[in-house]
Amino acid sequence: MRIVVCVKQVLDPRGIAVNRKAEKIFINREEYILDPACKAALQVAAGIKAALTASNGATPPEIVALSIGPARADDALREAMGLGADRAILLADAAFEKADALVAATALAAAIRRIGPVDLILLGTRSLDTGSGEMASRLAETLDLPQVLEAVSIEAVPGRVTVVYRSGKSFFKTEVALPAVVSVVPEAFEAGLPDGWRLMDAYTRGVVATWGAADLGLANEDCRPMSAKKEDAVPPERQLGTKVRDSSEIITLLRRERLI
Amino acid sequence: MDLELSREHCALRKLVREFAEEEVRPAARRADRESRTPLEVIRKAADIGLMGVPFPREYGGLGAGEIGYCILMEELGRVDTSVATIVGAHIGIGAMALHLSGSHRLKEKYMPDLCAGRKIAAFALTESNAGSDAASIKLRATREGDSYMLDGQKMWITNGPIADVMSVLAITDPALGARGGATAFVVETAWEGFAVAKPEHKMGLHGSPTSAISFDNLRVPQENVLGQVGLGFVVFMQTLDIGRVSLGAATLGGAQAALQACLEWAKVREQFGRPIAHMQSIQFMVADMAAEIEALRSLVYRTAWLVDHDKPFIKEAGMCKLLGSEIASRCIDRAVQIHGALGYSRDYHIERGFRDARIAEIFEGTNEIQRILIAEQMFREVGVKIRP
Repeated sequence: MRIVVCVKQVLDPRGIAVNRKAEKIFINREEYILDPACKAALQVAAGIKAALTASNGATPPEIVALSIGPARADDALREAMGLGADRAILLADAAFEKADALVAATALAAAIRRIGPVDLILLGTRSLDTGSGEMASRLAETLDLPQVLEAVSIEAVPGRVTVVYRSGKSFFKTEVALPAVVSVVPEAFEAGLPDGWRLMDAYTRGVVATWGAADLGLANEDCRPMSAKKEDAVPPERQLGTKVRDSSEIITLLRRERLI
Repeated sequence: MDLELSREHCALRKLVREFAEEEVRPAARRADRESRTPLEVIRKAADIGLMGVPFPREYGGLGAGEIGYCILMEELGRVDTSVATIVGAHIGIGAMALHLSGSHRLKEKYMPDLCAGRKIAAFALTESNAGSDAASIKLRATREGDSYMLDGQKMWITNGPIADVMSVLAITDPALGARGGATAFVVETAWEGFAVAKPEHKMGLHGSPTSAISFDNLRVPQENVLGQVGLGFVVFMQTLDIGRVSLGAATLGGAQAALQACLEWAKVREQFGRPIAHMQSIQFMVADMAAEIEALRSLVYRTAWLVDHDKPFIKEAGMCKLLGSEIASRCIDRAVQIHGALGYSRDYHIERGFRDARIAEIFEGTNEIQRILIAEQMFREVGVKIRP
């Protein structure tokens, strides 16, 4: 069995300040982190690996971390190895510099085909930065695979997975034959810290394979984005609410709203 | 000249910082208030490999060297001095003595458990009449067949109540005394004859347990001798030499945390109609702290680099401990001043930092001893041997 986890490196939000009045975003510290949703996806992959290895004693599933991004995304992939990935592939090419979700999905799908037989593709539901939440669906469509979005629990048996997923305010349980694409809700999985030994190994002897557009058989037109960023928009400053002086006033307000 | 940390050391710092923020910080206040050792935090540190950071991979460590170890201590010192002290006594002196002087067989027996944090280490040197004058220890080890019988007491042992394995210095030849007649042993606290007194009530470091320990005819097999019989004092002094570097790193973390707290507070605290960050009196204090911290950081990591490259480091190590503890004390003192009454309140963490910082000027060789050691090295360079 082989699990591919698509991961993304994002700007650390703790280093960003938003000034709504000036409608500006300030980057105080330009530091990058592995997206928390991706950590959750890696956690799920490691859990499946542990369960399958323990239950049937067969060859343990291989976990491959895959990312598209600039050279610095190498750090995110090594952290992914610290979190359980057996190997890592970075899709880096000048042609991907302006990649939008379409180009990224095309490249990731081509990479997954190149990796060979893949049983399960895991992603975070949405990334911290662009947060479109489209990638799982785009990948599934490009690869012509079934998709389950917003998983809150995943159990794997050889050949299929049972997934509990969120849809609106409800939860559903479904079973999917593999191969399939599943996106996970980060809050549902408590992602731990990387294992120190694995992390040091990832840096001292780990290898991050780098594949370019040519390796993936992508032509120039495949790398042409359909969308481009025009400007940053900062949502308006939130209006202050009503100031309440004491508890009796709160009770009056709640009664008026028929909340108590 | 490359003064950048390597990529794996940067990754290690990120890991430790995340661990410190997510696991250490939430437990620190309660540990201080209730004088409770945060063992669950130590277990979590062990799970991800942090209890064996500097030691070689072949013995189960992370293989991150002294630089990696200083990163660990700086990041822990930034958040909770108690946890830094537990880890420091375990790695920096307890297991370090074994790492530096233990036979391959001894290391194979103990290091994997110590590196994985399955066992906790301590370092037992101090006695009631042997503090700065470490050479006047009295704990007796008498030869009996192929064993040694330990009889006597040690005091102020960090990790005393929680340690499974201890590096212990005892007198094997009273005629020769510490220099030539002292031997270092690896002792398991589960062995018969070992006892722990009740934990000491300290000004600070409430989360780090300290106690007197006693040996009542405790049998140590001969293979548990660390280094050579009679040369234990050297084993212990060499261990302390190296331990001073990482202790400096822990104080660096404490000083940095104090500065950070001042910056955050001065940004939001308004007096005379504006944030106090705009007051020159505050700016001067902050600038002095920042300058001292930067100098300390350079010293600590350069000394760690000397250790990792097998270059002489004893003088610099003493400086790390001396300057580090005094800079940290000055910084946290200024932090109390900048925070005003809030800095004096037990409801805020500055007060804990103030109490915790003071010990670094005392333990692992008082600062007076550090000055003597540094002067000794300085005079040696001009051909004068200082008489003890």
